[in-house]
Amino acid sequence: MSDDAVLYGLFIRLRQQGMRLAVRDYLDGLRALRLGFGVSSRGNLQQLCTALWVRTDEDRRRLALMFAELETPTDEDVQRLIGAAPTGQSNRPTKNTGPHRQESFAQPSPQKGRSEESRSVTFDRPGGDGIALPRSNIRLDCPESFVLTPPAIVDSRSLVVAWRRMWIARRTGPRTELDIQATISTLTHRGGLVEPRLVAPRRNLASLTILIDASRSMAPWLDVIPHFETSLRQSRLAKSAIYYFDNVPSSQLFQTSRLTSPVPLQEVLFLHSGSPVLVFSDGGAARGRITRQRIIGTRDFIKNAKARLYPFAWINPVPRNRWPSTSFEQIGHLSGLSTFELTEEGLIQAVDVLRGKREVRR
Amino acid sequence: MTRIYTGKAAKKYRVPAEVADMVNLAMALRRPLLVEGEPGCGKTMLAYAVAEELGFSEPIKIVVKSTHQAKDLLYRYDALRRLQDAQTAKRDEDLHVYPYIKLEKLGKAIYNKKPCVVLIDEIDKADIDFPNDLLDVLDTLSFDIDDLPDDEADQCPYGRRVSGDDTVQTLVIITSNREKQLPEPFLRRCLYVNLPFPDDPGLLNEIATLNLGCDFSQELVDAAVHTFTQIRNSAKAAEVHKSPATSEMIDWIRILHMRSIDGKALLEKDKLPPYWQALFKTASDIDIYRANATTEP
Repeated sequence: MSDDAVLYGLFIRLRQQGMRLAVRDYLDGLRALRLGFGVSSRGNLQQLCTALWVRTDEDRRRLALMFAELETPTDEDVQRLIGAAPTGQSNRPTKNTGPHRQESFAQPSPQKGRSEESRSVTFDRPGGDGIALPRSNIRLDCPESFVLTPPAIVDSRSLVVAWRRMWIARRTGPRTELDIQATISTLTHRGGLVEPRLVAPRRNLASLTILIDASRSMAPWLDVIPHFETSLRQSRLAKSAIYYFDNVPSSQLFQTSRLTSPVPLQEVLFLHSGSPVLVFSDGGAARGRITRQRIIGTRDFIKNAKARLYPFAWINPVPRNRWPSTSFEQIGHLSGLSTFELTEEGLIQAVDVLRGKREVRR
Repeated sequence: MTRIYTGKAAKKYRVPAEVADMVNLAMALRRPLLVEGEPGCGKTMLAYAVAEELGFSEPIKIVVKSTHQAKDLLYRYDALRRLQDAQTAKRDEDLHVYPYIKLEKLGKAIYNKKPCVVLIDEIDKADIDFPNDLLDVLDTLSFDIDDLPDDEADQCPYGRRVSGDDTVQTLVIITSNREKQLPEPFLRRCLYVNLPFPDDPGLLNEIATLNLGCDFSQELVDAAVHTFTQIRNSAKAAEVHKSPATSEMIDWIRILHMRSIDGKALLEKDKLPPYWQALFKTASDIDIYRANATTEP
């Protein structure tokens, strides 16, 4: 009975901290407790919760932290908790009893001599009808008390999903696939099958050229750039290429993110003519200034490129609310460019422009 | 009668108690078990060990290819053969669909309703949509045969909807190498367990002894396990790309035995043990380890 209460408290607390858990996860936890898993010891309960609810390293740390903070309840605490648990309409704890309950629980601890100088037990104020869980205010010894891994802005998988939308299916190449319809009609016309009719399989003819700004102002997004490369490999595009440039694409582009192995811009435009192009750059929005040279240089490049590479889309990793009064705002106005943010929706919208499905003027 | 897996009764496989608990939990909650871990730690062997200990028949192993669709695991509709037979058909009744529907491995496992272990190996090799297609099948352990027309549903021995039995113990083990990210709905459906490298030297010794057989001297095995643990720890500290794991250790001990190397030769200090290169998989790892090992005092 007390295990159920602890499970419920953990579940609510984890959800409050942002872990994505569903009702189904909680019900499975209850079922596991009924079947006898996770009841023998605290370590077992932690293992059960980890197996059921934890999917990422960050989740694992959160759960471990929560267990470290969790005070082992004494029998008396457990009895009071059970007594206070909501059992229906008759026993609803109202908000008035919240603070009152805190005081009454604080008293037994010094009497038992359980509390040392550095330990004191507080009880969470229950939200609504919730059950208050004891929480110890001890200094934690576990090495990873802060979870400092930032969530990825965009991961490889969302990029792959976006690139996979670029699908132009045409039947090209050698005839290797069986055309059932044509075979059946030959059969009916001729009265017998001499050989099956074959047709070329559908292939994706979509292509994509990505130009990435690898200058210093793009340093905050350095870890997103390798995802572009890996995701293109899984994207099933017929032809794809990535080139790098420094702030403004001038007469040459580079083949590596460290800006080495230059290739003349004209050669790139010639090689990939007819292909849609996506530019990934802050366009001056990261610095927050207006630089005339940058605006003119970028405008000239866009005019040059749009003749050969069409459609054209620009993804800016700086959030949209930081674009006004920077060079990037001017760039967007000047050339009638389609610009998007670096989010999952922004990616999908950019790819839709590249497919020719949507013309956006921002 | 529900059988419990202890992780200690298979002939050549041992797991810590936590992993065995998770296996039992997955069977009890009827959720698939996603096993991740270093390559060479025995993820695939876990399925065989569970089947062996619980007395099930051989686990049904499905090796996922990058071109697989979820439907390919469930059933196969031989349209070509039906077309061919249709030419020589004497009566209209012969032109049915149902004789040309054959169940594939996973479909058979669901249909047979016998307790079994299904192993879906290296699911991250498949297309990114593949795990999502499998979600519903793994959840309810049932699927529809879409190619079967409705009016033939009662003639087909499988019926249109093939369902498993809720009371039968079935375990689906899915292994992943973490090469690609798996979709979140899929991860949420599975129970996750990370198969750890057996750090406990007693457990490692037991695994080595079980796998090598009785004609290996215990002295050699003890010395090798001890040296291996040291090599593995320094390899991890040196950040090699792939640290040596259980399968590499067993192969190495076999090489030492074949070359009749004595246990004492392994314990010599200031020298790398013979055939240590066999523990690493790439030339760069060998170089990294050699550079780090020789700088040690």
